[in-house]
Amino acid sequence: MSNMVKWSELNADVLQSILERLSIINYLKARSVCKNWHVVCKQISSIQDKFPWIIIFPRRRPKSSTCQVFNPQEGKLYTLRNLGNDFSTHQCIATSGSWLLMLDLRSNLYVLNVFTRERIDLPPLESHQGRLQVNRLQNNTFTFMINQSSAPARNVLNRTKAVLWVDEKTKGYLVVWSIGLSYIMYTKNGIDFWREIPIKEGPENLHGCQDIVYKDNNLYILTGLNRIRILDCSQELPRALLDNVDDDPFRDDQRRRGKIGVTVSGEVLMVKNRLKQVFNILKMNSDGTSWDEVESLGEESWITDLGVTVPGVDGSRPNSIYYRDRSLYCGDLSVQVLEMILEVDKNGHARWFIPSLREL
Amino acid sequence: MSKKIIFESSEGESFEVDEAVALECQTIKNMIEDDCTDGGIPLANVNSATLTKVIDYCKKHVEAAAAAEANAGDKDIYGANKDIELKTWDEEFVKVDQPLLFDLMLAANFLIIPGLLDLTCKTMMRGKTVLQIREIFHIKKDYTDAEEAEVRKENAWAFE
Repeated sequence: MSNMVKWSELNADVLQSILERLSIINYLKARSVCKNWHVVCKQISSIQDKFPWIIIFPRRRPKSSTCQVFNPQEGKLYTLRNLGNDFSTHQCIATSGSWLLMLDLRSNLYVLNVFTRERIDLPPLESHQGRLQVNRLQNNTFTFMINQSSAPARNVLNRTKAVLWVDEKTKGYLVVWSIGLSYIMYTKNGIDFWREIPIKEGPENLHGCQDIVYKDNNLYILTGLNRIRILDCSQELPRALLDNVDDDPFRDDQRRRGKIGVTVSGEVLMVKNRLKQVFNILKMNSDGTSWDEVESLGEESWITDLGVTVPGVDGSRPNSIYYRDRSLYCGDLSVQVLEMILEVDKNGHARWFIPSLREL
Repeated sequence: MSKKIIFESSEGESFEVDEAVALECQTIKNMIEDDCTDGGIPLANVNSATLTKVIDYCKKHVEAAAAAEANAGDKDIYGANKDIELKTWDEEFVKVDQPLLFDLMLAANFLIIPGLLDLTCKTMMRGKTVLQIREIFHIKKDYTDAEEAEVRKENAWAFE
């Protein structure tokens, strides 16, 4: 193998294995190096960074169609434009790769890719046939009504939880949205309405939903009683998995508001909603009967905004938690100190995401 | 006494390594399983300088894996931080000139050493601009200015 081999003569297979390992930024640069590299890049169906970035949303007013993304690896900020005239007035409630789940002022949901600007409009809430009713008022506001009790939407929407999953290759998607902790509904590609996921049926009342996570076709719900309920979403209708545990591990414990996460191997993690200097991460044992304190996540790191851990890769931060309350933090479990990565002022809004790109 | 495998570089030089070290290369692993390694393995497209580095890399990673296993009892069950020393070693390992890095990458690709391929690919482009990439790798820009602008426009944000 001599040094006389020129890069431009490299065979396509080798070149592809190099290019598909690049970070998104280097990958985009590589596309513009020469025609051959561009052709090879086009054969790579999708590329995903190993590290979370931060997406920083603009203030609501003045209206703006841009947002910024920050790559902590480079310490560099990029501006993304033309995301829609009213973009700044909308609220991002979940992400999947570079896809954002956005809620507009009329309470319509849509999915937007921040890099390609592809957009998927989701069914209107009125399409939902269930206990929830949406009453739109003249002045563009609306109220939710569940079982005869009505609540102004703005009160409820502050307590909304959502998950988004988009398949980069097929653009298949699933959106699960919990409204006001007590009502969960979902939609996915191929159905043009919202469907309720019953959380109050069966002998026990699960008392709502504190947090939801989606991973590998399974929907994990942390109920108001600190129980984990797992639903298999691979079929037409979500189906409760048989090993759901009815026993409440915290029966004698204080009620704790938690965030949950699922590890690469499918274990369920929980952390208190307000993380202080010392993070107390718990892991559900395999029987689902108790929560044990986690001393280390090994090579993985937990991105609480995404509800999952990501595997360790060369150069990544292992055994860490990527956390957000208002500002964004990263903390190593072995030193138990949260380091602020980005300070966000009280009007701002930002979250962790893992950027991905798909060749169109 | 562990079994030895003999590699032969493109210059015809022989390198004797433990089988465990050779097994880091998926290509060699397949050959060993197929029992066709007797009399040495000629690597016509890997020169001695590159092969020396490749063997260093494999040795280090075999030793690190063995050490991690031996220490497993002393540490917490997740083996936290076990790889920090190895990562530092890796970083030092790829501080070489571009031609050697390039040869290492091709060797890692040919011998199928995923860790080394990852490491070299990543190091190759890190922090370089498009102009620098062309210069270092002797790639002729075959775009017209207009075509280049067009390609950049698709993801203009990344070039600001």
